[in-house]
Amino acid sequence: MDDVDGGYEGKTVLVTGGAGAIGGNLVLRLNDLNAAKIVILDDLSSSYEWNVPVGPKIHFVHGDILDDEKLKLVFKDRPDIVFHLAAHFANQNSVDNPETDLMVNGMGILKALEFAHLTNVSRFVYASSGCGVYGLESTIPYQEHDVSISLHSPYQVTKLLGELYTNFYHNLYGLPIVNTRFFNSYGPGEVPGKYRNVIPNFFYWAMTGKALPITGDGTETRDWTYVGDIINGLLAAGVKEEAIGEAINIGSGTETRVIDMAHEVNRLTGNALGVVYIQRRDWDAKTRLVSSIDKAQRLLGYRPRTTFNKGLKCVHEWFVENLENIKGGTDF
Amino acid sequence: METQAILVTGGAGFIGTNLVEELRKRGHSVFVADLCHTNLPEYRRTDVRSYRQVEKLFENATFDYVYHLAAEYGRWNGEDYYENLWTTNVVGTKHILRMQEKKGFRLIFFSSAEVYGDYTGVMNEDVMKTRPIQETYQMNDYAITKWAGELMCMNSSAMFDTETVRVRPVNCYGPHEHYTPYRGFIPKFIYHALFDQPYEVYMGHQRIIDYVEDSCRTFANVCDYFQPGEVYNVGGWPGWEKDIKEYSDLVLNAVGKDDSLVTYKEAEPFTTKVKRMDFSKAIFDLKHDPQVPPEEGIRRTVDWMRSYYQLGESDRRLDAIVPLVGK
Repeated sequence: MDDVDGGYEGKTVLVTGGAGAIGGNLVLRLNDLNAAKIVILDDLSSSYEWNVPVGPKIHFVHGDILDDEKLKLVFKDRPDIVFHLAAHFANQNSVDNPETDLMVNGMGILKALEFAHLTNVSRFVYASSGCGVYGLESTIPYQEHDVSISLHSPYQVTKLLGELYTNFYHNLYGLPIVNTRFFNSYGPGEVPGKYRNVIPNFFYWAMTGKALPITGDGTETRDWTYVGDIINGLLAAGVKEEAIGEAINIGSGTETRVIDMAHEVNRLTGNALGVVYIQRRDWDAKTRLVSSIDKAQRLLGYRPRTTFNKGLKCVHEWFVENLENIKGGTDF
Repeated sequence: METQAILVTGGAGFIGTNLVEELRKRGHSVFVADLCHTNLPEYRRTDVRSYRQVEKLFENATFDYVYHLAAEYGRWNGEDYYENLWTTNVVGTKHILRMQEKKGFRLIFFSSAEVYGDYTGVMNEDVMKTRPIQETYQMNDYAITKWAGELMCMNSSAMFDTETVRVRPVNCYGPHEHYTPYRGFIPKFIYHALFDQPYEVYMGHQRIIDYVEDSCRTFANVCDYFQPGEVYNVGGWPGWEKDIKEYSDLVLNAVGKDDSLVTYKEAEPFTTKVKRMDFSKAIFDLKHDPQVPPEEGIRRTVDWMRSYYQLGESDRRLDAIVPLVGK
């Protein structure tokens, strides 16, 4: 993807949510790709100061996506490309705090789009969610056209809402938007926490001597996608002309059972306590989840490169290196 | 002093917050309109760019006075976001004036001393009426929109008998003005000094600053001494006038730093070098009476900023545009 990588040289790039699990990794890659300036807007609501990428070209603005003055600051340098990753994350958090979820994911993207439109950005890439926009009646593997309007959490509703807004700005104003739909992103840099994802939480519990709680019977599948692959997809979405106005799955395209993931985490960490089965969460309606990545291959030249076992190994290494910081900051 | 029903647009902003506090202290019934989304009582989220949103404010309420502060502030903000500037400051003000024609409230329009442009003489209120236009060209879009707002108020009064007083604050500063690069030099100096960030001081610029509580007492007095059609400069005592460098020194002294962060430069382009202001009209008509000299006001502002940015507590709060180089 050399044409993609070269597309960032000398560019000013804004990453909202740039201190988060995906954003932080994206910022580091943009830094390597010689972007002239990378601006992060993040309120650290689901990240920590120690986890924010640093560098002379990286400008970190601590602030809320709903704060107009902070938005003015980050759009002041007229970013060429905006990656809108700031979000209220995720399902359980949105069930517990539905109004905050709507403010951040709904009003937040509306404000970001307003400024993107006002400042004439050449690309606005939105981080939507494959786990969000597809429903029980969507055919597996999920294809981009097959979205659902019968969803199971406020987060899913507002992630879809974000796509409706980006499409609106594209339709009415010709804003060059791309909706990327991530599938179960995981990787180094993602901290565990009350509302965080299962993989970092499993590593955390395995490394602090707990059995891994499985919400269901363990045969449920997920389409875990390594953060490095997600970023390859995102970077292509930021420059490929063919992507404009499109919704594109960024997944691994393969299914893995939760129980197999749990066993692998226990094996890597040497956790002998195994797993325990607990009740399924009421919003957790999907027993299978897998993406079709044909469109991403066609439009973005996207191909996942990191096998699941390799990816888990990288996460483990990151946990070993950062365990003290991680332990200091979790909010369980 | 009668209790009045008062609307303050921009009432959650820097001057607005202080003014609302002063008006409430005097027993007035104050309603606030601003851009932020909150559930505070006596508040409604209003973007004055939208006539319908402005109209909603008056649907079930009657106001005796409207303080119209809602505006995009500052020269460089106005350059970077000129659409917001023009639609808010000019179109937004027109919306307020249209409501005034209908409802008949008394309006206090917040202009700016920027309207005097690069006028070289003493800036008293009459200058804008009596001097040839080429002596007072406004130097930037922000100033132009403020002057446009004043002209619109005057025309509205002539055409529709609306009653408006205009005020021109001069370098108002103090608590509740957080820092952005678009704001005035006092919060900028303090912020940079607190966070050990380098800043530039232009030599040969003189300014009078006015502590926001002093300005706001006078703004609140407008209700009591309302004379339709009048306009007032509101600022500090002429004896308090200082060189920008002296303000920088006061800030550094209050923060407890030396001037190694400061680069001293020759005069800044596009900026009036010396502004000689006359405040006698406000002193006479509005009982303007500044109490807080710059030394004290800057100290209080530093204290406020320290607490706003949570400095002095266990760990430093990260904030805007701190480039985190190295850890």
